[in-house]
Amino acid sequence: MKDLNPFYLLYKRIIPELVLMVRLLAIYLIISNESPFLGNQGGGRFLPIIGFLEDLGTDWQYNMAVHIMYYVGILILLFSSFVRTGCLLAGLSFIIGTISCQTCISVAHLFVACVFVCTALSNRETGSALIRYQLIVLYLGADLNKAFDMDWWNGASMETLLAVKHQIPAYLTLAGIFPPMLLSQMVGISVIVLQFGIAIALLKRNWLVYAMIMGAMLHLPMVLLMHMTFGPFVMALVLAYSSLLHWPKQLRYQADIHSSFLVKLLKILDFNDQVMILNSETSPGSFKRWFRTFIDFLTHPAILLSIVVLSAGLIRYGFYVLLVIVVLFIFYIKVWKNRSRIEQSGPGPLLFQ
Amino acid sequence: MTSSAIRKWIPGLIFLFAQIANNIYELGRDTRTLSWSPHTTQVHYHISAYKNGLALPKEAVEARYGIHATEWEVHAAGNLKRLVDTAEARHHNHPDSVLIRYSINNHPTQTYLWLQNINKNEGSQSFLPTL
Repeated sequence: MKDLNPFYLLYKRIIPELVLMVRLLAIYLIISNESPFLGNQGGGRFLPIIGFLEDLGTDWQYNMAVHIMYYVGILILLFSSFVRTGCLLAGLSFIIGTISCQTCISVAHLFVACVFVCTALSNRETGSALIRYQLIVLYLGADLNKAFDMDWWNGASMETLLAVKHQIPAYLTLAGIFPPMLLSQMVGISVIVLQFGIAIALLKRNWLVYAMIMGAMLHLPMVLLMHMTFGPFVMALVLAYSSLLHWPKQLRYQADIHSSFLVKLLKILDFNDQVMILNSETSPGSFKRWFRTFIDFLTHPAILLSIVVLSAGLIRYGFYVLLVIVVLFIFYIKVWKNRSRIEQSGPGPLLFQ
Repeated sequence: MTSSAIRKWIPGLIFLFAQIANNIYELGRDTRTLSWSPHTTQVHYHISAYKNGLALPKEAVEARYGIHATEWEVHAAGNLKRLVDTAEARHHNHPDSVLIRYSINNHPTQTYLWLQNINKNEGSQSFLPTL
């Protein structure tokens, strides 16, 4: 019965970090109403790789089958111990959805699919390494496309994106200070260098923190400038990076700094024996204590879920500045301040070390 | 690492290497499908279709191809051509011709012309002004 509880993360075929990551991602996809298909199917079904599926049923039946596969996958990964099976179904539904129609092609949704499939193909031996390699493949692939495109070196691509297409006032003002195209050229080359740097940093286990910093430098300005999170991409990316960090098995209550009320509440929602209350002494409630408890117990699944729901709300209503502040604050508190420990312990096994 | 431990890596590594191989394969093509190329190319385009010498209404073009008649395509110009080709291969009651005018990264406009019953023609660099 324990396995019916989505908060229960232990004793699965994959490590708890991955279980937590895919469950939070699944909940985000559901509450933000994401779908394997982006919208209408344009010129009809279009399956360049698996063409035989074009003859299966009507478009309506086909779409329904893919949607059912997606929802069944989500239900299985949330409410059973067969997390990998659920991930495989959800991941395949996103891949099939992406290639089922030409107007649905989306790197963001493809990345979500790959996160699910990599989790489905993970086990205790691989830990979270396949997610790490998936990130490397993502950045190297994106970098390869840019490096072979002269417009990324001469600034034409970024100029078109930021100055012509989106006409971002802040960017236009800043670009006015420089000679024509120079800022776009610098940004374009910086993106190529950053993406390559992230891929390299992800190869070495104790450079993870620096990969995350470069990731923040690459993606968060785009979120602020373009006022979008590219569908589910940014959330999937944040969760994928988070899964590379060690999930603490125990969180200790300290009466002198934590809110006893909040910790007891978290204890009720603790299905992994994570919350340790050695001293049952109660403590007075104050904003400071609540905040400290929130920070120290941040890796509790219930708090992580509340952050994901909050982020979905911020994205839904366009509070991108607040979203970026939340991401940077959590990074500073949980990653940067613990960087020496993260570098020493490493985020998990790697095939090539 | 034992052979049984190595076996546990194989499915995941095959999946990742398949992505790399596809990425390299798509680099040599003018379309992007499963390639990791987010917003790599900005293509501003306009699609118009003609029947009996008259342009079809914008709404008819949008309904036929499932995209806006004038918009940005963020993957590759080849995706637009492929969309028109496959849509016309499946639909009946074809227009006489379909013209895509597009500009890649704000460069001079190019054209692509689809003609009914005639092999598709790749438009050369046109003399149309930059969009």
